[in-house]
Amino acid sequence: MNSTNEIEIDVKKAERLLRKLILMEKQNLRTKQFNDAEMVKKIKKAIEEEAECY
Amino acid sequence: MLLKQLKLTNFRQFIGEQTVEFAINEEKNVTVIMGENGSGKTTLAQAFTWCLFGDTDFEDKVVFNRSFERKMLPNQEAVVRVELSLVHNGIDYTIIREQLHKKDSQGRLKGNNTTISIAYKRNGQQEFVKYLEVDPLLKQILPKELSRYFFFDGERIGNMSKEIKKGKSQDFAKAVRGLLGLNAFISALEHLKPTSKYGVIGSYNDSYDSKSDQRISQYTTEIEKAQEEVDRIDLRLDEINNEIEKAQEQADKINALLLTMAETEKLQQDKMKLVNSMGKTRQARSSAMGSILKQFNSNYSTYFAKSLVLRTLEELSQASKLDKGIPDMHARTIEFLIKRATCVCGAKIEFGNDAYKELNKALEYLPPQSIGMSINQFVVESELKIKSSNNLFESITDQYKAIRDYESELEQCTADIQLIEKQIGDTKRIGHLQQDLSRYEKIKRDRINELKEINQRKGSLQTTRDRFISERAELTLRDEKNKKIEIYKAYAQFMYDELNKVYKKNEDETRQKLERYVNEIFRSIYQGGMSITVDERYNIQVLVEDENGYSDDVETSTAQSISVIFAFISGIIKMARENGSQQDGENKLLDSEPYPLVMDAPLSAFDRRRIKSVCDALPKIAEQVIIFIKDTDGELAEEYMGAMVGKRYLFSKKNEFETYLIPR
Repeated sequence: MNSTNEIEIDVKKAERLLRKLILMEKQNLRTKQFNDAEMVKKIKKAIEEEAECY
Repeated sequence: MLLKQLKLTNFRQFIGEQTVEFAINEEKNVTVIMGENGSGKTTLAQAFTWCLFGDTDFEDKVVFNRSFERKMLPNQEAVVRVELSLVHNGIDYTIIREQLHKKDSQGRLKGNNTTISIAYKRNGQQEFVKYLEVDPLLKQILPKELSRYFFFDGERIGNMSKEIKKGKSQDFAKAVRGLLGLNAFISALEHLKPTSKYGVIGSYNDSYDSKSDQRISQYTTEIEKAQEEVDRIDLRLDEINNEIEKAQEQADKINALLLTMAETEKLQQDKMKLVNSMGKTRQARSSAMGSILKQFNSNYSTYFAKSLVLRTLEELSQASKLDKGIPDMHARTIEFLIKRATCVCGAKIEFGNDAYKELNKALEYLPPQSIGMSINQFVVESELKIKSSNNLFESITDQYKAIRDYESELEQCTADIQLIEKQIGDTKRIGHLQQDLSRYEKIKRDRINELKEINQRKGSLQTTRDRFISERAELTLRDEKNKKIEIYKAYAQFMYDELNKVYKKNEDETRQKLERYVNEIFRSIYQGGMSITVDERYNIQVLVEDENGYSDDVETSTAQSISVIFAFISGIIKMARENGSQQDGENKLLDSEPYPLVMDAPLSAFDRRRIKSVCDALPKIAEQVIIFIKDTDGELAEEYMGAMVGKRYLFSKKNEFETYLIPR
């Protein structure tokens, strides 16, 4: 666990998210499917799903 | 990116519709397009730039075919178009740039602005990229900052050589990082960026529920305000750093010039001596001229009459009666004495006496009855004048000689001064240079002061912002909904920080690897004790190593410069190709594209041995090589690359406005 501003996060989850994020970005660079705003939404969704998952 | 086809319609001398297909086979990846000087090699290379970026390096920006223009009728319309088909990231794109031209009723041709569209295939269907997405896509396919390296022009090597060594923008470094496979990292960092209002963290900041405490939204507004100012300061900091760098560069240049000029100070002093001496010589010449004129004006009549006068005197000397007169005596004197009736000796003068008779006899020899006396006086005066003009010729000759000497001296001084000026250059610039130097040093001082001031301001803004963030966090943690947002943000922040670390590590490793590759390629092309370094902004420095292991930055020759540029761009291409073909497929983090090398007259500065080295190295390094080349170099290139050449074309020039591309 890691603490940021008194909030604890699961580092393993964060690292998983990080890898997922890079692969999402790679995929999108290739396909041009999503614009920046859509990508921000997708990343937020991925974070929320991972953070909620216990 | 691999280039498949280039289709030109009325683009400069390529009249009508003409198509070139490029070799993309892995075994035969070289396309050679050969032509004599002026046949259109550079134009074809520029067609890529025009298609991608809407501009060319030509002074004449009109790209419409002149021959076609002449045939157009008033009010007729026609387009110039370039279509570039390529594969990027596994997708087939066709980039189309066109410009509509119309001849008005008076026969003048007017061109509209160019338009660009990009077609691509998705699921077998052709679609067009949305207008707003064209530019970002082009930046990914080939950033403009890098285009001149991929579309390499061997005849404009001078500028590139300077550019590659210094003064590249942040955009250039970003473009290189992108090509080296760091694009996914860059995009992810952009999307997470905590300071961006539209990024993941920024949008979480906007989604707090302020119902629990109004101060949350106040803090958010204050944080955004502080951040906006920090962003503005960051932009200014970039500008200031660039300005300081440029001012320093200019000051260094001027200092180097002034140093050279200081060495010529002695020459400058010599010049001043010569200038002074010339002044004195001119004065001496001028007084000699004055003296000649004065002498001439006083004596010329006598001088030119001398011969005549001498002959006259000779004649007169033979006339015996001329010597009977009484000097300075006039008839009026005699008449006075007769009238007075007493002579000067006291004798009485009476009509008919002896004295009277003698005096009347004397009248025959006195003026005006006799000219004997006048002639006698003339003789005396003439002899005197002739005597005085005897030296005129010699005197004028001597003075004229002196004037000729002065003239030669002046000519010699002028030649010496010209020689000195040639050596020391334009010395008048020294004053301007000193002024410029002071100006640049002032700019530097001012900017450094500004840098300090705005850095302090930035620090204080960041402290305020962070305090508000922390105070807002205290409030948000009291509310369950907001607490969740804080958790998501903490994940995003952690990801951003980690990604930054990984990115920096990867970037550093990638740059070191690039430096290694660039050196390997450079040594394979240009043998010698030289090495290349690549700094954080991807500036290149060429170092020469001496036998003691010391190294120093050196000025490179044309062949060395081309080799450096070849090595640099080939190094990037090699790494991009490697990153693109790594085996861990979808899971790999670095990801990039293979890139072609399009070269106009690339071999013109090389000798035969280096042409062979370049021809051996390039098709192995680059996924695709396209060469526009003059016939003599082309034959060598084909000889050395032989088996790798997949497509061959020839420029067939009909006249200045009509060239055809013929497959060979």
